[in-house]
Amino acid sequence: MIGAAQGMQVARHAAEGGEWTYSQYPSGVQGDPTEPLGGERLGDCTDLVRYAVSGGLGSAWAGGEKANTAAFNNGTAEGFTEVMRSAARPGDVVVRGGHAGIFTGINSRDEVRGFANNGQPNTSAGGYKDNATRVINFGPSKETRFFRPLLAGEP
Amino acid sequence: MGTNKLVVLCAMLPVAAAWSCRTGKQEATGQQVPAAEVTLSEALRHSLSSASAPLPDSLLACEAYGGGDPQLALARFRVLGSAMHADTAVVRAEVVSVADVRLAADGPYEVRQRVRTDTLSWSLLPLAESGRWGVCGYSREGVGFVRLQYLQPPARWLNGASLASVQDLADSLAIEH
Repeated sequence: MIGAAQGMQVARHAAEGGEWTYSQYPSGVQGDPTEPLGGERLGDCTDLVRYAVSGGLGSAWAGGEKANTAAFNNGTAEGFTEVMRSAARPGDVVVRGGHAGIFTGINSRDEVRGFANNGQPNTSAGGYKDNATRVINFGPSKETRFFRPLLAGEP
Repeated sequence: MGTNKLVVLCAMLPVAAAWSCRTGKQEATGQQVPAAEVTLSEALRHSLSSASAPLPDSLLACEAYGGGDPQLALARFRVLGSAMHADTAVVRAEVVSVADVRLAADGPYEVRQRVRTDTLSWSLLPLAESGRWGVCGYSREGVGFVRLQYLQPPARWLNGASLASVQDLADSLAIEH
């Protein structure tokens, strides 16, 4: 697994990636953007996660296919291993239900904070939304899961 | 208290105040919150498979990011009750759904048609600007609702399901309480 300093590289790369235009059109959602807004990156929450981990770690990361929230939730996300919430540290991936981001910390109310590409697909009851890419509250720590990138060569 | 005084007081309330400006009284922990039940009922009505317009932001108190997991195609619902928990009104409803939609691990959405009844709960918070209750994101169980008409290839409709078959099934069960 990556060390604390490598985790900080992941968190830094996520924050330096700038604004994202939220989209799930590759998963089959009509009405989501097919092109990013000017100067932004296009994708959903797990695209930002992959961007941050891949860019922050480079060839040190074990790599793998893009993992969506379903892959994290069912334990098939390549290049990651789940860690206990008590062991979570910045740069890990935080997943809650259908949303994911890069973990930044837990506040005094035991709420998990994470940097994320925020929005919702057009299939949601509220319709498409592209919210700011920023640190958000992922909710109570007992409702979240944490995944740490593996190093190249690790099983 | 006169109406004007109540309006002024409601405008001054902090977001976290456990106060219903529609009823003008403080709710105690465990107390039923009819105004919150009305809000959830309105939100669920906008989430039905037959709904023609998306759920308006005015009914929401929190952001709902990324889509629920799973997302259900809602045929009908029945609000069961509510109770205050600190500053939050927790409202329960029985929902009858006709399909669930999940992201497959390899990328696209998958639609499974089936009829299922669940009892779910939502957290509602007072809205600072209106004094009304707002729904806080997905259900507390993480479930959201889906607008199936916006799925297109490469989404997969499993076991012979189609948009028409799911909508027909929803229509046949659509008796709202």
